[in-house]
Amino acid sequence: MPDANTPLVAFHDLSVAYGSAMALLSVNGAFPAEATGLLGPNGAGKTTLLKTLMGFLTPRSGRVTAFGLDPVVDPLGVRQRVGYLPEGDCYLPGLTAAEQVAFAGELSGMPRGDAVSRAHEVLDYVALGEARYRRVDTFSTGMKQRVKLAMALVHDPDLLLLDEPTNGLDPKGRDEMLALIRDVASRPGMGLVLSSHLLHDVENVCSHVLVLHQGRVALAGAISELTGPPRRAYDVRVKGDPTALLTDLKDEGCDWTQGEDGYRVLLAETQGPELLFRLARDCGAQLRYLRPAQETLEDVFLRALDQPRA
Amino acid sequence: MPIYDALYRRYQARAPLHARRFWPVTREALRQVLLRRMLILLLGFSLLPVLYPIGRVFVVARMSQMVPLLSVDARLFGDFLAVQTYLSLVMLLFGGAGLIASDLNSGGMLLYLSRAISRRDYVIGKLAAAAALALSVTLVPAALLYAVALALLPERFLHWNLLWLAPAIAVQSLLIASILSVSALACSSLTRRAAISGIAFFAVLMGLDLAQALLVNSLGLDAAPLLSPLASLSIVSHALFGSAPGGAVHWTWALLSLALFALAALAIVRRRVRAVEIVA
Repeated sequence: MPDANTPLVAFHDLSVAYGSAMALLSVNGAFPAEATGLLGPNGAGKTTLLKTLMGFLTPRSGRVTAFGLDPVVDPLGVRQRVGYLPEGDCYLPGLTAAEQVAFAGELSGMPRGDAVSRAHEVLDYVALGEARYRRVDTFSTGMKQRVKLAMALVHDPDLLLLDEPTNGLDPKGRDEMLALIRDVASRPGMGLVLSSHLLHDVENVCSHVLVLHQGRVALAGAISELTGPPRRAYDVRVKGDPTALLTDLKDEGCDWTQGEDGYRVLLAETQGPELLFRLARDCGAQLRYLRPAQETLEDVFLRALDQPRA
Repeated sequence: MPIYDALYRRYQARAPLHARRFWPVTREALRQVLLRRMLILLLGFSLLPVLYPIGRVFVVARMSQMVPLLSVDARLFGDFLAVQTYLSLVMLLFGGAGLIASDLNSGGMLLYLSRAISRRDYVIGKLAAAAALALSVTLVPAALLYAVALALLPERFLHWNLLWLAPAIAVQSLLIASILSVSALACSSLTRRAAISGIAFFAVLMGLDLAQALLVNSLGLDAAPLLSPLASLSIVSHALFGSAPGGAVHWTWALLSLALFALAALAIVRRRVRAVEIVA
């Protein structure tokens, strides 16, 4: 069983192109044996990265290694160890949940007997035990998502690829699905990649994040490290014209972003909040609100994409 | 109750992938097809024509005075397989046309191609299912007819002169099944709707047959049968069994035409079943 420090998947200078259009440019990074959020705007290269990982695309240069295997050389070996939950529907009409999940197991190389018994186990796990003999095409959206998760889990993959797993779910269903995914991700040795546009979902489940932007890695690492210690960031509101204060903050080496009704100021390692009071007094500004702020994943994401906060 | 009460357990018995990865695809495709009652009825109906040649063999075996009136030789098998070719076509029209189309429609393609099977395994699996349907109305009844002929007229069918008959039946049946199956799959891969692919399958095969008949009869083009897979199968049948009019085209050209047709159909299937599309 791989330990958490050994990456399950690693990308080395990976470049992938569709004809003359480059989709990925010298991507370096890794998916550890933990939960990783794969983020990026549309067209950033997330899908291309997953396709290359599963052996559907051949890199123009660089390489991918998954579980020590090269997906170009042994795509089936890689796919046998990957569980994929697609965004769209993927079931055969007329099959019950148990048949569907068992069939998915067989397609992943499991003997029929094992696939059938394992299908019942994972359906219990995703709380569809009582609906296992119902046809999947009669299921609600939430139940279909859970069947898809069971299909992704049936062969006990080393890496789960989840593409928008909470799409179309009501708040309760979404919470249940996220709880389930968190539980799966907590299993030692099992990696999880959550590709989602919902930063809240990623923040809820993942310990790491990989942000792609225009085919390049814009940001990668542990979320706790990227969001930084809380004492460095402060939410500030200023009465009057804040221009002078903001200019002084820049001069002192601090960073700031504009929020809905104030500013988020990022102080340097050695600075404390007293600097804010001093600068405000010097330029005659009134601080009306000051509170330590924890940077959210959204802040980190927008900063990586070099976009202002809404 | 939280939904994660049941614990997740690891599966420790992962085995190396086996060579017959296409088999679950074939089994599931046949299961889906045979769930339809109409297909079972059609299968039963398609087996009825074998009763006529079996009856003929029986009459000749029991009443020697009927031998000059009812010939029982290799042509009997050729004529029988010619009829069954059209019944196979009907069988695949209803059973084979949806094999890929329904996967495209329901997202089943995602289920297959994100797993540890290759595009080739998928196509072989579907092809085997279509071929099984076609062989069930060609090879199976023809083999039954041959067994009856051997049992009732051993002095005639165990003779050196007719020992080639068994392989000839197998070859012609496999040829019919292969050509019709790849055609059905190619049409099935072109659309998401089984009904449209069925119509396309029927229109292509019957349309080409009609076109070659028109060209032969109106313009006197001797090579026109090569345009039509059904006419080419008839030429090969003539060479194997001496049945049906052979025409002016040599059977090797007919075989070549069939091979080209099959390759074109497989190229369509290959292009349409694109694994790269599966991660949305």
